[in-house]
Amino acid sequence: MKGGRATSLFYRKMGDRVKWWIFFLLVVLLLGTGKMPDFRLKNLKNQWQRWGDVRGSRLTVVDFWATWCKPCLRMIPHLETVSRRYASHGVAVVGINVDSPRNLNKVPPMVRQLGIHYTVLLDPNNELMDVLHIQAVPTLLVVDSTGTIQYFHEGYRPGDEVELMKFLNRYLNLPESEDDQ
Amino acid sequence: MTSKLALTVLTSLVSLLWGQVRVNYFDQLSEVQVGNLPRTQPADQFSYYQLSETSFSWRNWRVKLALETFQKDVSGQRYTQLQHRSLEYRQGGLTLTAGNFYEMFGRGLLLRGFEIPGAILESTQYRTRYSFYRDLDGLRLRYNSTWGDLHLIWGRPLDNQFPPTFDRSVRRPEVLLGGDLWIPVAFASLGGSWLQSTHNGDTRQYAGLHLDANLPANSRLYLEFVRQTDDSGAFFSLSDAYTHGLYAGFSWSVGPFGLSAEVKDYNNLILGFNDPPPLIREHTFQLANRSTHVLVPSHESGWQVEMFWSFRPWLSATVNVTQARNRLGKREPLFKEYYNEVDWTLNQMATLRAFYDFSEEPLKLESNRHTGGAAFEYAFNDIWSAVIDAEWQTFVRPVSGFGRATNSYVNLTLARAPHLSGGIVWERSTDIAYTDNPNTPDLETRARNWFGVVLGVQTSSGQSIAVFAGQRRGGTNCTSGICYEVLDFRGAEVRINTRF
Repeated sequence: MKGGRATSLFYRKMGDRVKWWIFFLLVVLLLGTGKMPDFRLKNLKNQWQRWGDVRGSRLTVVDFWATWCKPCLRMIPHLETVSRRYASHGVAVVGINVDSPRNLNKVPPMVRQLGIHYTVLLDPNNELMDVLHIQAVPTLLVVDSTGTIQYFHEGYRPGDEVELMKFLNRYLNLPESEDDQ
Repeated sequence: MTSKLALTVLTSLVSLLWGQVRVNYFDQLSEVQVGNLPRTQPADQFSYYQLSETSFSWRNWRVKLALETFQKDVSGQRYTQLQHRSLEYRQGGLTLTAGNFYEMFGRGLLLRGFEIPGAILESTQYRTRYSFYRDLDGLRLRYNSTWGDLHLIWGRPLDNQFPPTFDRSVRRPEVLLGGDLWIPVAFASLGGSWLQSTHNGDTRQYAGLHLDANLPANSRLYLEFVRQTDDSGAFFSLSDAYTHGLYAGFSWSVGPFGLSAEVKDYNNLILGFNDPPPLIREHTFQLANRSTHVLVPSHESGWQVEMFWSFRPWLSATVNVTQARNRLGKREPLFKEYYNEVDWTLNQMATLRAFYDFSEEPLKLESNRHTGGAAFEYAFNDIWSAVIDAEWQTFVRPVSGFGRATNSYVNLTLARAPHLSGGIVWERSTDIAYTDNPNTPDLETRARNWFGVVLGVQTSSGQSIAVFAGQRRGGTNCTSGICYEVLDFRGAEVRINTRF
């Protein structure tokens, strides 16, 4: 009898928690989420750059990466392709390197060695990661001109770059064959 | 009644602020473990961990909150706590923060707060699971302008050895007061930092200088020197009698070649709120990662040189040579590592990554250590791909009767881009440190095996589920530049990440 009352109380408490969680979620959904803040980070030349200086006029592909992260390095050549292919459509690619002081010294030579031509900014203490609550690398965001995050993807597997280009084509109303050009 | 009132107040507030308040994110990480921690007493592990994090913005204000909870059938190990609460105000180049924050002076020789997102700590001593972060709780002012960048802090750093079941006085015993200034000059930035720590009435003062310079021919130089200043020695003394830290990093690239060279000399620099660069390569291959030399900032000096060649798009190579000398009284154990890696794109569908590492690690009693392996990735088409990662390691424990030990690791993963992946992991060890059960009087030498299955699902909006079932080998794990210990686990684990 006593056990039954305790179980019932437990479920009632859990039920209250679930109700609160659903209410909070509704508030979150109503208010809207996922905006890129106006941040400021240093580039490889040790100069500060703001989000407004580096974003694309229509879309910005933001890639959070690190030198020690092999899937990140796999994705980079595809981002270089995206950067070249979609530049004329108002799309910019921005790499946010999140290497800690442990690996920071390796970033400039590795960027040159990887042949990255798009903007790379440094976030050594993960401040932008914290603001956007990025949990893993690589994480890829596509941000529109109002700062709203339209696409979010963690990790890299072969084929993810095809999905990204499909998304860009859809958003920009480009034919699917754009990724074959 | 109370909850209805709170609901009404909250709804009214939302209505009032409609259109002005923005939720930056509302994320939840939940993890359930059912199983046990092998060779640990008590072994049973049935626990639930949850971390809920949210951030709101209103005009120039930003609020961040994180609630962490751990539930288990042992009462002293359960907790629910507001892990993070902070209020931030931004106006032009000025940022004021009250509450929890992360801060770094220079490259972290004096001060560095950090978190490893998604990492959950657990020790055999406390058996409580909690997120891995080391922040400050207090006040921060940041001001940046064309003339420079100023950071001032006052707060209590977290000692994350102690789980949240301990009092705040144990977890945050110290008070820090300090500042860091960077001034741009021509091709470089010059800076200085000052820090005072107070613990039980004992006050210590530290100061540092740093330089970050862009040099000709794609080269760059970073120098940082820090010292405890309330002793009698000269400021730039590198004597072992005084607390000091020296870090220098040089990088250069030309054509397909890149170079990074770094030097360190740390003495008595185990401050509890800093994180000096270890100058040890961060490995991604599992066995090499587990064998990473962990920095001992109380007495370590050494250097690291890493070279990369890239013959795009089909081949790149990395060579890393590292030495670190520790000073333990009359003993001076020397860690040495030679690491080679090749990344070869065979064609549009297949890539091969292989490595070989030779090292001597006297602090872990591992001598003549050879580690090698390869990861082969094949994309069947634009959607399906597979990776097989096979690694092997052997070393000698220079202890009478222990002999040679071997470790093996094989991982096979099949993925369907962009949402699904699944794999199997098998590990085997003949290392006496793993085969012997410390709970028995006998010395077990029979090889141990670990076998696990992993499944991952991810949606395009960032929700993900990861399931693990089987046995997972513990040991040192290094991620995002930080190394920590992971415990052995046998059972099932479900991790759900939701993101709104």
